[in-house]
Amino acid sequence: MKRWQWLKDLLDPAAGSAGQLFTLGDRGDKPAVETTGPTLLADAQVRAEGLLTHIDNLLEAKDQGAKALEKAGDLSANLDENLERLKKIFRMPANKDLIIRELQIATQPPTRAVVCFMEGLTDKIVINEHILQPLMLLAHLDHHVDGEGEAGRTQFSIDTLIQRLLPGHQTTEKYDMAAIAESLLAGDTVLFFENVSTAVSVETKAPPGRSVGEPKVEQVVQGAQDAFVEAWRVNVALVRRRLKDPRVVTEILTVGRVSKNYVGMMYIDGIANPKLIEEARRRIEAIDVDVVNGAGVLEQYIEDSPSSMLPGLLTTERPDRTAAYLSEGNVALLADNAPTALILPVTFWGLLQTAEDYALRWPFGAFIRYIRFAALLITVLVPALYIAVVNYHHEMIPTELMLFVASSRENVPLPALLELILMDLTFELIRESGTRIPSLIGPTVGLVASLVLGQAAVEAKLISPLMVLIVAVTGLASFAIPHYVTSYGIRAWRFLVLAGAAVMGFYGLAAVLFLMVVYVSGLRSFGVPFLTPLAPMRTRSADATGRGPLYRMEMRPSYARPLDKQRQQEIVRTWDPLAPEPEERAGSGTKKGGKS
Amino acid sequence: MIREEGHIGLLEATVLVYAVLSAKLFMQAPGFLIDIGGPAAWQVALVMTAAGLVLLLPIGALARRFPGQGLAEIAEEAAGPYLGSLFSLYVIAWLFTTLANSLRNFTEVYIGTILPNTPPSVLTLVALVCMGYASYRGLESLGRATQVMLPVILAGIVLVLVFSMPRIQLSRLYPFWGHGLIDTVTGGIYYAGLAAEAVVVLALAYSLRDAKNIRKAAMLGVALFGLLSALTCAVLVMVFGAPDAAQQPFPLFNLSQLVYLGRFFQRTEALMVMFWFFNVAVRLAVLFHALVVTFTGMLRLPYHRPIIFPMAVLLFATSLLPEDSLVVLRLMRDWLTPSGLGIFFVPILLLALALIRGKGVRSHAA
Repeated sequence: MKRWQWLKDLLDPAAGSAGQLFTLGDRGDKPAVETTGPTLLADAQVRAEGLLTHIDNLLEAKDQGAKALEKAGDLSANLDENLERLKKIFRMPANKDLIIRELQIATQPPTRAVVCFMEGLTDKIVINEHILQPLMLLAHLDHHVDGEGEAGRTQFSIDTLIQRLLPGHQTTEKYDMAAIAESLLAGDTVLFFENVSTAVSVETKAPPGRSVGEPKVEQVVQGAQDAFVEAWRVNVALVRRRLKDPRVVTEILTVGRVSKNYVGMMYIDGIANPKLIEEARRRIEAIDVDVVNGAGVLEQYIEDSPSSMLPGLLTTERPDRTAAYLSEGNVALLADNAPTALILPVTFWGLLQTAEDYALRWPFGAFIRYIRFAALLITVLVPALYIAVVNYHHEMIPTELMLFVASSRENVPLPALLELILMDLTFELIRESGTRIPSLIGPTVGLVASLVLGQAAVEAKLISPLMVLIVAVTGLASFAIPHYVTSYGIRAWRFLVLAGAAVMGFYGLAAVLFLMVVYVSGLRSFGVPFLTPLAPMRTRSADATGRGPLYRMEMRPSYARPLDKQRQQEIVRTWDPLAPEPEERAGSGTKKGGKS
Repeated sequence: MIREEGHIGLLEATVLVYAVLSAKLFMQAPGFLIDIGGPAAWQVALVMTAAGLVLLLPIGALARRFPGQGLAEIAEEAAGPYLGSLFSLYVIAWLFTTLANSLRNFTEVYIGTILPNTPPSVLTLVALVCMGYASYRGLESLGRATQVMLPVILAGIVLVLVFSMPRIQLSRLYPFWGHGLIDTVTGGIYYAGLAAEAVVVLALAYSLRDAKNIRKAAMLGVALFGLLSALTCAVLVMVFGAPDAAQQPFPLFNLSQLVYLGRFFQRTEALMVMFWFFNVAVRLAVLFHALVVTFTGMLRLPYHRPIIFPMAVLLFATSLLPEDSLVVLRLMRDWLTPSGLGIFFVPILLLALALIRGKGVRSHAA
């Protein structure tokens, strides 16, 4: 039989090798209980042990008052039992990240204790000098640490330990294994003791991180040059140094069952609307998923229309912008591991603004906002208008220009639409590869793009020079849209409008625009109409398409419904001899906010 | 009926009423007015506006008696289930016919002006998608969108009128009284039906936060429409002369064709027609939404969205029934506009019935 086995394998390759190939699939057979059972059983055992210990502790504490009941967690008084559970929870010995260091506290007689911390997340110097050293070397110096011990003996107590031996700046008692695990994962060091059902957590966080750098996307010429980093606590500090007001609140929320990412929710109590704060909290607490990795993911879980082409929240990497929004009554979310803040609510106009608009004097600030709005219109409309005019409405173009267009397209074999789509797609390709490419070879791509695709395509008579101009102007205009995600949406719209114009000229173009405007008019960001203050119209404190002089912007923008509407006095430049008297201005009916 | 469309304010409601009416200025409405008033067509427009405003007065009182309700609900409460349904049915039938007629007329205008080779059904379908989507998104979105588009909508008329200034001759407005005061006044009252669509604001009354704003919105919308109608008629007469202006198939379009401001800025009609699209789309969308919500209200259905598609299909089929654009125009001029006068009397009769039967908020309060 063996003689023909090679032929059999040749005819039916699966018969010979399929059994040896690795696959995660079960090939139709359900996995045996032996493979899945132990893990599930071990988890259940740990939970059951914890539950039983908790019940024991509660029964013990029931006669000792409410405080004792509060302290009755699921920790055992037996150090080894606690350690065993901790190891099971952290999947030791397979997991090497949790460091467990046994020691004897230098009391008389010595007390057995264990120090646990996560490798890489903690500050070793603090652990050595402020935890291990006092406990191992200094505890014996004071034999009367509690004042009640027998001569030559030290009675061990947690209170004494915290108050006299652990100089860590944040030291808390822990009674539950879940809280201990959370504390360890955050970078704290936890101490267990023999015969004590309480652990002590000392703050030793030192997660790896970079220092504060310059903004990568929202660069400005005039204004601050610092940007958020991945450590959310640093980000909170960057905002706080700009708002030295005790009413600035940072709430800490945790999202993700596995990631347990911290989200700092900042607002100014007394300015931000409590309904807005409550709604933000409600939406974040409702997130029940494994991993929320950064602001971009968090945004999708809490925004009003996640399938919209425009973002429902403002992402910014600038602390100064975040602080400005907080002062207007908005709420900021600072997620851990994300170098951006999420501002809510936001309006469409907010997505077209930059921090620099306010740093410049108002005529220039207003001017660059108008320029940006024009850039938006150019991005969306110019390619579509060109196609509509060239394909359907030649009569609109003056004769000389029409002849010029015709002569430039004379040698090009492609229809104008195909020409435009090819160029546009190439442009998008260059942009995308330019974003992803390592910075070392970035200039090469730029060179290839400009030489090969621009000049060569024209010389090869595949593309008319006019088309290169139109795509270039459109591309340039799209870069003027300051918000990164918004510019994505706007670029996608451009293709929709183009499709409308290609099929039915101005009629199709207008139809797609109409649908878009109706769509955007119905969008909301945390209950705020997206196009306000234009629609619905809010004339007071409108700060949207343009902006007025800062000294005239007396009111906060009304869309976030701030509790305190006024942000500055009616007359700010009191020293100015030309400044009107308060009564005079009130009488002239100009008590308005900034104009748009 | 479950209303989950949000709310609109006075400004949005006014803009909606204005846009519903002003879209007629791009069609043949100015031609009708010039035909009946001659050089005094602008006076006919003013009389038409005044008559419309007077006839719309009872809307406010009616809406205040039934705050937060639409036309179908008001009719049912004020006139009882049987008579009320008849009122709703009349409004629905009129709205449906007007809408189908407008849709077809709109398609014919586009075919006649900038898209001669496109099949009418394609243009109608695109317009239907715009209407249906706007109704699907709800009145709040539509109101806000119209407000955003208002500058473009106004520019579509005002720019053409301003750019035509070099061609106007004041003498063409004479004889000042046109065909005579009696003709002007009777013509104005006859064509008051052109403003009858302002009554749709009552069908959308459920969405206004403050019932007091309903009358204001209707009045302001009609007044603005009247003012621009008078201006358009006057400019048309001053440019073409009354006899020629009355003969123009698309008067405002023909006016925009004449724009010539130097060699570079001429032949703007295609651009203007694009601007007009926004206005016409708003008109169709508002009328369609009013039709759908009144129908939903009359049948006491909980949601309006399921009605959108079947109603759009019916409208599509109906709009293709007339043989040609002349039939469409004749229908509009000789049947729909005069029957619009009857629409004015719906709120008047409903108010009278409510007073007699003691229905509405005031009687409850008493």
